[in-house]
Amino acid sequence: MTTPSDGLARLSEAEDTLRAISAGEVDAFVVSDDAVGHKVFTLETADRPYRMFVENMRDGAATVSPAGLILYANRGLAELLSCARETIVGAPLTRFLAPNADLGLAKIRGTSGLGATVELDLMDADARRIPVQLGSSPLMVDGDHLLCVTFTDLRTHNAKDREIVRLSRAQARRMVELQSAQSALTEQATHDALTGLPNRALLVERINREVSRRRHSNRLFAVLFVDLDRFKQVNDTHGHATGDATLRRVAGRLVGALRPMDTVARIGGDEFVVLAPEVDSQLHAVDIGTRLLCELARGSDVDDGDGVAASIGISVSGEAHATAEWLLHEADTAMYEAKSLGGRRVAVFDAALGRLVQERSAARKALRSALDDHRIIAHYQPIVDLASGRIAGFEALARMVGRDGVITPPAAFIPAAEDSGLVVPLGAQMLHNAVDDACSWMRPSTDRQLNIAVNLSPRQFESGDLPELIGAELDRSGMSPNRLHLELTETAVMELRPDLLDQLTRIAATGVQIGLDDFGTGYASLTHLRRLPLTFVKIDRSFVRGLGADDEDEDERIVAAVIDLAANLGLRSIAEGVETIDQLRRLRELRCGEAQGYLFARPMAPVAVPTAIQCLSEPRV
Amino acid sequence: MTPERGGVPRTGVDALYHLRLFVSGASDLSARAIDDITLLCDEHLDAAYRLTVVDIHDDPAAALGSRVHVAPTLVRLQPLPVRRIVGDLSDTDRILAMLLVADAETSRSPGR
Repeated sequence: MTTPSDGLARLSEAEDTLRAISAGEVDAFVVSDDAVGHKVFTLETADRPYRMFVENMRDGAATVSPAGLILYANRGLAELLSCARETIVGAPLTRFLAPNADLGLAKIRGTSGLGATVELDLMDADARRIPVQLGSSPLMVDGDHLLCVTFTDLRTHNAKDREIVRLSRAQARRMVELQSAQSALTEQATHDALTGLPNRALLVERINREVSRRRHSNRLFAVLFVDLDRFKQVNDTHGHATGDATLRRVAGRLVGALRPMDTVARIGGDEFVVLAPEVDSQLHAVDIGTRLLCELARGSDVDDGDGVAASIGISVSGEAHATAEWLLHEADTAMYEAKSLGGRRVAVFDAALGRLVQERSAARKALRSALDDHRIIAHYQPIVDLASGRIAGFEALARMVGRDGVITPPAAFIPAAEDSGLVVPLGAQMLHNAVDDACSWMRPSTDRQLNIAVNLSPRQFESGDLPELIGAELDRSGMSPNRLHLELTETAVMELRPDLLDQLTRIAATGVQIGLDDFGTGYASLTHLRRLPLTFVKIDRSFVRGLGADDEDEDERIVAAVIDLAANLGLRSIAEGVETIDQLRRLRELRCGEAQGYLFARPMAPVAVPTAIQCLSEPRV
Repeated sequence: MTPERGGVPRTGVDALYHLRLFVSGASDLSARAIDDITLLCDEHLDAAYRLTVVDIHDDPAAALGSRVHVAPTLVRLQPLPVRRIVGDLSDTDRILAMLLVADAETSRSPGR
């Protein structure tokens, strides 16, 4: 696809070319011709190539003096007349004309214009008649009026027009225009408009060439899939112009860091692929990848750019049957592995990675069919208000029910859900279920208000319509917004993207409460805590576990600090994973607001919840 | 033709400006273009350039490959985007402006 600015650049180049031709700043033209290959035409001012051209053209050519003597004859004319050039030069032109030809020649002489042609017969050394088309034009050399004559052999001449032998400026202009248009089309079909790099089609062609070469030798080659880390954020935060500039900078750096024989292609938004035709080993390919990462990461005042983080996946040619698509797929898979390990690294595709990918793909398939069949259900774990000892609400936890009725815990399918983006429909189903279930529990006794907590994945914010989705669920169910609690992990908000903050603010404005899950395990800064519209934090179970035990002083101090911090920021704190009476006692002493864990109840099926609400008033303290 | 000119031998990584000049044989215009660009590079681009001169008679395919149809044409290969300057190179200010331009206009493209 050509961008408008790319088209503009082309146009301005074409204009510049035409201007230069008109101004006489150009003396040669290259033309690509399917039949004869590439050809160079030069204007008269560039002497050497012009002479060579006239000398080597197939037609006969001669210059004739005002008296009718031949002053110059090219090789073509000597061949046409089957005699040596020495016998032609200096002789009158009429000597080589058949008896009836004088008339035609007279006609030519009478014409003053350019490009006059006439058909007549030449007479060769053996007195054979040779039908030719004679073309003539006047030529002024050092004040002499000469006649420039060309002879086209009509015996071999077919209907096809001969190519232009001399270029006027006008012809040159037209030729350049045609050629530019043609090569622009070829360029467009094989190159990426933004960076000028080869596109996917050209890359695949080159990889396939390497594949077929490999069949005849043991040489290795590598395909490196380069994907920028968090490039979407650059676009979202700084706009597409900055994004485009970054892509160009990346393209330049990749090209600069590689060998001339390597191909760098851009095959998608922020996806680049390097084809390294000759590598010694897998290690060599990894070296190349590492070098590229360093090159991309360095800050520079040269191209005015900050470093860019990327993930690189490598596939080294191995199987004789590998195709370009297959190698690209492997490199892509390895790239995702690099990304899932945190980015800024190189990963190589191998058999183990292949198996892992198969397992994940099986998990994805199972999850997709579970979503389609509505076999994703919610189990609920009570959250207890520590002051009153009563149930404050429930956290909804996803469960996948197999076709055989076996229930799978989230650890087995959430990673696949996050990877594949299926976490988005999964999150929507969980929200729908939880809101429905909560309304059904509250209906019998309206005086009893219960909170329902639902987990959110950062990916659910990507489409930008999460606030509307939540609003629609609340409208549909009639549930009071402040009963709905949404839990985000610390890592999800680690980088405070403006779009995420905006959506959270819109959600919070409706009265829905938002809290941080697993607090203390991630790296959320205090600034984030203040800028996010939060109302609660959940203290991670790993800190709660050490509470009440004599030797876990540090955990206790952390929990105490978190509760204090939360209180100072006006946030409620909820402890997770409470399993012992000692832990509960300590949490109460530290004035923790709410808690959940096996001590109170395990997550339960929706049908069990109403009974639990009635029975569970105070744990067995 | 001189395969490469530059202040000091440089690799592609370090040379900021990678230029290729397409000329036509030993014509007057070719000779003038080579003179002009060499002088301009030495005086204004410091040592941070790599210049290759290609005769289109020797390698017409290279010219067409760089989308060059006439000679003399100067091609800026690095930094991207590729730019072509056709014809006379004697107006140093104009040529420098075209070589050094930050490509602000091309940054506006929507991309993707």
